Amino acid sequence: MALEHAQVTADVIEANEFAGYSERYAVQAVPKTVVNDQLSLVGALPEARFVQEVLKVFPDDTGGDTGETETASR
Amino acid sequence: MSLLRAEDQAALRARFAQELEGPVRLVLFVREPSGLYLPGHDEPATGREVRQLLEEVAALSPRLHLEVHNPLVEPSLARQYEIARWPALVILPDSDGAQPDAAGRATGRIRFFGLPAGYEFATLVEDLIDVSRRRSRLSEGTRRALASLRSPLHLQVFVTPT
Repeated sequence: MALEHAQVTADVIEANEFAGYSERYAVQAVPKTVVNDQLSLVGALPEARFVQEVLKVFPDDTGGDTGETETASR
Repeated sequence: MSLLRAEDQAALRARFAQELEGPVRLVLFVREPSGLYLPGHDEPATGREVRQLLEEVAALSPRLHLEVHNPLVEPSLARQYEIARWPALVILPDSDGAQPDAAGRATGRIRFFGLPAGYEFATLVEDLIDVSRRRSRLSEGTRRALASLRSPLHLQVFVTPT
């Protein structure tokens, strides 16, 4: 996604090496994707579903979808 | 002693020769670029391993250019890439005249924190190839969905080596 748009930053973080930082997001099962510090997705999702979930951080752009989304713990 | 086995190096070299197109910058931030491990420092030894691994990878293609920086010696550079923890690798297309956007970026940013081992090494290789080709393998639907993006989107994927 970062390749497609300059607004996207995509980080891969090795959770064991950055245990303190990972704890902030309550990382237990991996992969865990945290989006704009607002929502998180656990596990690997098919592309279309992943994008749909990720874009929920921008409710205006997705037309106000609501869905079951795990929120990130701080 | 190499981190990559000889047969893996050969396979990667061949793959890069075939699939890499434009040049790629690998911008690595490690605290001890000299490779010296200083007892008492809290930075794990992965800094040395990451550097060695990336040196081996970059040596496999003339299109891969590795730069190593110490974030403590070059804090403004670390700030420019918004690097707050390390070791950290930023993968960028080598400047090819791409026009930056309002935030001064020409493309999105791909970064790896920690040692890209196991499955993540495969991810790293795929990312190098994709950046080199300046295109992703996403579907048209995804590209359309992203086209209207106006605000920053920060994805942090936490992984463990498998």
